Amino acid sequence: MANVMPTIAPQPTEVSKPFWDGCRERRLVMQKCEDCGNVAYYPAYMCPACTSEKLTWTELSGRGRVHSVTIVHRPAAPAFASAVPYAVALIEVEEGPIMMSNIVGPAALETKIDDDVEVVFEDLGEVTLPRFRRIGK
Amino acid sequence: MSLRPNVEVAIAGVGETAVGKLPGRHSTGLYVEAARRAIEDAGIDKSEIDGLLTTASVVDDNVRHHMVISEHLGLFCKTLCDTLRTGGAAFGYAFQLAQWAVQSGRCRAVLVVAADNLLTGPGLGQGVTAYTELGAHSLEFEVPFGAHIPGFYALVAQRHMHEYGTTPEQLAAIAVACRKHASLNPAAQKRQPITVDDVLNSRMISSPLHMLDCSLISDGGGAFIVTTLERARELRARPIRLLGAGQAQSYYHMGHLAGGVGLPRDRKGEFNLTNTVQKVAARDAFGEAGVTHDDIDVAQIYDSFTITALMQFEDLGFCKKGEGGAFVEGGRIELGGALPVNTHGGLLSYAHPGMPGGIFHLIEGVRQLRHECGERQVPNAEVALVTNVSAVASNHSVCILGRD
Repeated sequence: MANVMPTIAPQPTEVSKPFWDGCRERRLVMQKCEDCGNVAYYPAYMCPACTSEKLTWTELSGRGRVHSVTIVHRPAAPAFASAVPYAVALIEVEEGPIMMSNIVGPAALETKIDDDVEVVFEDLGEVTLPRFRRIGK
Repeated sequence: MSLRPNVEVAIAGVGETAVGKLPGRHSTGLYVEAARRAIEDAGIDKSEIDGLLTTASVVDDNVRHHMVISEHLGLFCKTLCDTLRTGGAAFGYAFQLAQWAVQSGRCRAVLVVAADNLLTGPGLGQGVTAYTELGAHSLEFEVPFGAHIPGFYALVAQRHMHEYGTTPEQLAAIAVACRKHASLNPAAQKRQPITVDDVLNSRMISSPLHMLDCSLISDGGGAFIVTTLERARELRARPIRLLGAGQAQSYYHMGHLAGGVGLPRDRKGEFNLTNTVQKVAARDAFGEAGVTHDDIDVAQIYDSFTITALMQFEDLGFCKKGEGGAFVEGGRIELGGALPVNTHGGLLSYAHPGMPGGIFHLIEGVRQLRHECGERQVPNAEVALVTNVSAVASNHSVCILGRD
């Protein structure tokens, strides 16, 4: 745990539990709409594209591209004080949605927009967070 | 009862407390002080006020905050009364709600008031943490990754720099202009002039945003009173007309904002991190006002961060998308330039008590059109544009004001 970036742990809900359970199992899962094909994130009660309720949890490739990234020097809260500087990024996953996460691992602080990344799972007590590392770095 | 859209409305009075560090003050006391000053400024009898809109307080919240304030003000029976949860964007919304209430005859006069003590209330240096812990934004899908509001705006700035070549120097020009104007405003919290190098050499908060790219954290509050233009003309202060207003809201969650979640397929790409729905609010405000960009003499542009302001020049239509960086260079937005911006000093240098921040832009717009700004007065200002923004470039209001 020594080198793992800390967190303020999320509290899973009835709709998001499969997402967090998936992370615990090292699978990045999101809901795919059976009617229009849209992939939803964050976890949704109905398809925000077409209003269908036929959403099926689907495992993603785990790969994505950096849509934007910032290096945080002033921590968001005392829980993150030991981790600065750290990289907060918006990742556009291959299947479409854009999710917030961190870039961790080698040269994380040199991350640029459009870098290719892949998911890594980090256990933090009760929760496992999906974070990303740069591919080929 | 139908709307009477020909009834023009105006701001009949404004008031503000001191701003900056006000130790020992409770937010409710600041609320009452700001409201009293606006009532005095208008010279209106309190019994005429039958509408009250507040924006709560981060430090001293109450689920019925508007009830607490109405009790302290002794406003027993209101026909419009609520707490707005739209943060920094609330004042254009409040102005529009007041406009509709007054136009329709449901209210005679609406008091809009906001105050907080974000600097000294949570403890010095704790304001950002207080906001983060409020759930700004998603406690489940953003906060766990160490994100905060400066970081969210930094993600927007990085994307803008990537797409359009915007530079840190261009962002800094906005902070420099605001500070220059604050140096001429005795009430401002930060008055020592700064240079572009000062901004670039200040502590990095979240790249590319340095400390001086970020707004202040302050105590303080403000208020304004809306009534019909006809009634305002009978009162003490010079009325300032609402020529036009518009509002638009998109999303809080950054992934939804960036990805245009829910937009019809043929409109995907119309809105994203660097193309905001403010252009919709601007379309409506300019449309209602019947004025053009060339008619705007002074602009009060919401500036929670330098990037917040920079993108608005594009979405408001003062320049093309991607040209905001060039627009703010060369003194164009400084007093004496083509479009003086944030003549009070803005959130970057005047004050930013959290939720109330945007009310000072509106009050400054009023004071400029009354020609009472002293050294920072824009000569002969007739038309002012005021924006409010909240929830990271997603909640927007645009108001265009005119001198009566």
